[in-house]
Amino acid sequence: MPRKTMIVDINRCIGCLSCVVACKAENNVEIGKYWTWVERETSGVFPTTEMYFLPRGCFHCGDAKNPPECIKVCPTSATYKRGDGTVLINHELCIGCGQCVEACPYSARILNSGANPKAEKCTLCTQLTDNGEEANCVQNCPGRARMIGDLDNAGDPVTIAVKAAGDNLKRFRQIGSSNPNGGYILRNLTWKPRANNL
Amino acid sequence: MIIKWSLMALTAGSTAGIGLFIFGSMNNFREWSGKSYPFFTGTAFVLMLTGLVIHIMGLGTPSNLLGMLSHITTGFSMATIGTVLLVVLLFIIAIRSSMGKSTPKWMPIFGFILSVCVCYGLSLVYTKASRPALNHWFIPLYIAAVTCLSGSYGHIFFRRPYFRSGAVVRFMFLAMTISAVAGFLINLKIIDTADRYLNMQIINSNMAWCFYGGTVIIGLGGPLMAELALKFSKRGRIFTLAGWIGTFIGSISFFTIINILG
Repeated sequence: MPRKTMIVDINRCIGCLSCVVACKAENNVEIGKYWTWVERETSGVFPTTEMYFLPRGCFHCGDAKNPPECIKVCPTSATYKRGDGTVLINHELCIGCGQCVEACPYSARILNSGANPKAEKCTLCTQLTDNGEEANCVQNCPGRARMIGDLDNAGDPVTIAVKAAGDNLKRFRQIGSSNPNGGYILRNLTWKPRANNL
Repeated sequence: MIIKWSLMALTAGSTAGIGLFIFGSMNNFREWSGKSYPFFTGTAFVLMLTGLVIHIMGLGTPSNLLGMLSHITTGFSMATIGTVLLVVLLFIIAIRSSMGKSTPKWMPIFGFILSVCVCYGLSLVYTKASRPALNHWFIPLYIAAVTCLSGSYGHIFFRRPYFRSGAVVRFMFLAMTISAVAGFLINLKIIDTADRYLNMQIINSNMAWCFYGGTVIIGLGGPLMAELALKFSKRGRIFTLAGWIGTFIGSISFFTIINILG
């Protein structure tokens, strides 16, 4: 059962926000709203302080058997999980009720502000990745921190990187049935993001 | 942090209307087959229809209602479709009773079942398994308590029975409402250690007045004062109305805060 998602190597992220700009340019995300964004995590007390950047977005949670909360609460079945594991929104069916936005514990969804608002979120740039290209945020990441791949495909470079990371693979905790597939590779730093408790 | 005013209109209208309808049908169950109360059902109908119309306007187009048939088990679909059916049923009952015709007994029974479904649906709308602050018993309890409390006030307001009657029952509903609001606050306090943002939004944000002013002072204090006044005063109808309006405003404020947390 494929689980396509994004893994970010935090030690490679330099916080340049190229991914954020690339995402907005590719997907025409409206001003003031984001499908992906970068948080700055700090911990410790001077002089033993730590800081790293934490790119955020949809984790394409769950699988076909255990769909995430956003799919469960959608009254029109507009939110669905594709065969490859990507969670997408059918805008023809979306009525903009905002139930999925409230249900997402990771704040990955937004409602656009049109006359007929629709829910939006990271699509892993399926318009590009379905044609064999890389997602725009992946293409534009100068540190090559972002990777998209299928976690259930043993030969996928992302799966190989995840296996090599071992205990250094970090994920936000599961809340409800929203079990995040996306995660982070973090070496030599403390995994203590503020949003992890959400 | 999205305030869906259309959904709140549906919630407020439905809880107030259902409360009135349930109390009307429960208290006069034997009389439904021979005589029903057009003013009772008419008011419940107007309250629910107003909420429903605002809700449908908030959805964009009425055709979006059809989309909800594809996922009927969600709270949003259940509450919306249930309210549509209930409004139609209330309309039929109101028309029949205004024409002096008897109302078949299955109608209020079916209406009661629909009312429970709508309340359950509304509970699911605001309860979110993936959000610790919103995954608690206080939301279903609050909806049930507010529905019953507003219904009991509406009942004595329209029927004009002896205003001091039913005080024990109303106090019970009021205690349920207070428990739900207290549970909400305690839950926020408990999860505050894990999630410092949610509590701050309530306690420190510029919407704090909405919770403390609307939900606590007006929503809980209003009915409480009304009950005390009913005990000692002869002008029962005014205080009944005050308790009813207080409950209504309190519920709107409460669901505004829930929306902000969402």
